[in-house]
Amino acid sequence: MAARDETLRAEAAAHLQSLAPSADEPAWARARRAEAAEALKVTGLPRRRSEDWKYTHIDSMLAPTYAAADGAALTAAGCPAPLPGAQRLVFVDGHFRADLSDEIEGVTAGPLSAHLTRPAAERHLSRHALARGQGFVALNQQTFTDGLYLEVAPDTAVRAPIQVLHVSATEGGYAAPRHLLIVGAGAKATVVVQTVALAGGPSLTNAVIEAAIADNGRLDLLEVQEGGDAAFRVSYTAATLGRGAYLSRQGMSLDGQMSRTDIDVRFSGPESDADLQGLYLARGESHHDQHLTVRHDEPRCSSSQLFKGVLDGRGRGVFTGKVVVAPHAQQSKALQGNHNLLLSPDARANTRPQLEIYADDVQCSHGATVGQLDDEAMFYLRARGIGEDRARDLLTYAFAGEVLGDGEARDWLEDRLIRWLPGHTVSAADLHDGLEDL
Amino acid sequence: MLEIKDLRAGVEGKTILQGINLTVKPGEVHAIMGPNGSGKSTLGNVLAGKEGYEILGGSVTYKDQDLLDMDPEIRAREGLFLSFQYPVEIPGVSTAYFLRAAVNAVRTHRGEEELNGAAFLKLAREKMKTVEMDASFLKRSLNEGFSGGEKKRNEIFQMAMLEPSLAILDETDSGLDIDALRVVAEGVNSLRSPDRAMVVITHYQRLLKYLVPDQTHVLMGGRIVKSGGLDLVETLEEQGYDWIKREQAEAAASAGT
Repeated sequence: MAARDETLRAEAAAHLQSLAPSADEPAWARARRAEAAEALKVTGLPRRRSEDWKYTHIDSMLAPTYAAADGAALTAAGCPAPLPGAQRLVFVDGHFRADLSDEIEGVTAGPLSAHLTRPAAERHLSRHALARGQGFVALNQQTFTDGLYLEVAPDTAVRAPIQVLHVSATEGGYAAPRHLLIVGAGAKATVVVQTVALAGGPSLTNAVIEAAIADNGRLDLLEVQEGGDAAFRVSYTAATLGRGAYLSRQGMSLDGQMSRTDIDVRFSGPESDADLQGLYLARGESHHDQHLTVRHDEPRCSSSQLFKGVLDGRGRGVFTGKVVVAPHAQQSKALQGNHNLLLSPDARANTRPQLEIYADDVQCSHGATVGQLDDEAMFYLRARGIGEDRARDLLTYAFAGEVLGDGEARDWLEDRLIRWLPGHTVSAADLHDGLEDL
Repeated sequence: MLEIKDLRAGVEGKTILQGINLTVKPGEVHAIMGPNGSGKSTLGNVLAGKEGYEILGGSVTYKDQDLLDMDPEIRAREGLFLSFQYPVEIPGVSTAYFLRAAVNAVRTHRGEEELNGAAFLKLAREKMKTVEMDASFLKRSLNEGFSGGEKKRNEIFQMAMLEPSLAILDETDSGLDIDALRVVAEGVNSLRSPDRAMVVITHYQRLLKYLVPDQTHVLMGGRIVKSGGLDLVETLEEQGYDWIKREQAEAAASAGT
């Protein structure tokens, strides 16, 4: 068993590595791809017995033979609508599509492949998401094609959200997008990373997002993964926060066969703050795994994690929230909550808080729940004439709506949640109709 | 309007209602009083259709239909309203959205057109005045963070919006201070009409001073053991329930000899 496991992973890794692009890159970038190949040789892709992948077995993900695609497989008409007000860059099967993208103004933002000559790229690329010990990160570092490069100069606020749309448009396609977000000291930006599968059959997206937020900088990051019943998605978001920096991360995972979302936050300066939220919705045979690591390496930082899952059909949700507070990171604050709503008897949720606290003057709390719709609340709604399907939808909406944030993207996210609700009895127009007059 | 015949019901194998008989006609207000544990709330829940109760016998006819055969939402759409003793808090759903969904479910059932947001708000603002609620409550999550009195006022506000044929008020007076009690009672009073019936379930007499019932029943051990008028309310206020318990015990003893 273990030997077969080993062989399958080694063969799949070797095949995926062979899909690396032959890019004309600076020597340092080529060297980092080579480093990644070495790291992958040591680490391998996650094994069944790996504690970090305990509930997510990637055998089905590795079973298809993937191929690289050239990025031509999407027309303007087939391109999903952008977040209103955002400036957008579009990537298809890992490749930049200038014809579908906006010309971004007022900030250095464009395809990573065209920005590798910038000193900041060399300084930051692969220095936040570390290949060592993370098989998929190593694989991405070796095989990535392109992604967003954003560099916000110090004390600059980018007003409109910058949106990256990555579309997996080819059946059997493997894509390795990589995004690098550099927020200068005192600077501010909002970035939306939307990963969509439109291909009918299986596809594999292995994405990495690296964010470097310098002292007193602020990044609002929204990640949405959606579409494609047979899509496999692995993503790793690593953020490093300087002194007094702020990261808010909002996320939503729905559709697809299997997703694994890692978020790795490191405080590299004191008094910084990370606010992480996520929603995962699974039905059918979907499997969503959210894996968080927050490293309090500096004093007086605060972090909060609030993740919610709604699981229907034979859907499965996995949450692991690791918080590590270093011995000298006094006066750290860390809050964690993970709550799961099971809508069917065959749905499953696994939740694992992992707190490692080596400092004594800290405030840490965690709470995890797995439950069903509240009978009392159901009866209350039905006793007012609201039908059973609608009552279920409303209570599900109420449960999940807490983690959609209150920023400009809330409506955009809410729309997805409402369309997902099993009874299809709620409309966004209805929810807000008339309320603006109050 | 409502005819309950020998209704027996229980929960988890325990019989709570031991044979209730009650007839309520349009326009009437019936008070159901009784000590704790006598089955008052069970009666309200069974009539509204709460799951988890077992019907062991008897029948309930509402507007010439078998009430026990209807889902709770159908009962509500047919004009039955239960004011909850403990209204449920639902964070994330605004009072306005909830109530408009409810009002429109009832309207659709009656063959009336649905209310849009503006028409709903206009009506809601008007009805809220009767229970002295501020319109800002509409925007808030349903019952979330409402005080006890605010929750009960919200119940009566919902009742005013839904215009039921039969309202069952379950301990609507519990947990209210004297001012809130007056507001709630006046709100309920303003909803009395010749074609609307009410069943007021209460442990205390104080609500009935405002809301003078046509008939008063004492529920004890799952049965209605005594019925009367306002004089019965007054006797209960002075003497409590013990004398009825003694009467019952004596009757049982003489029946045994």
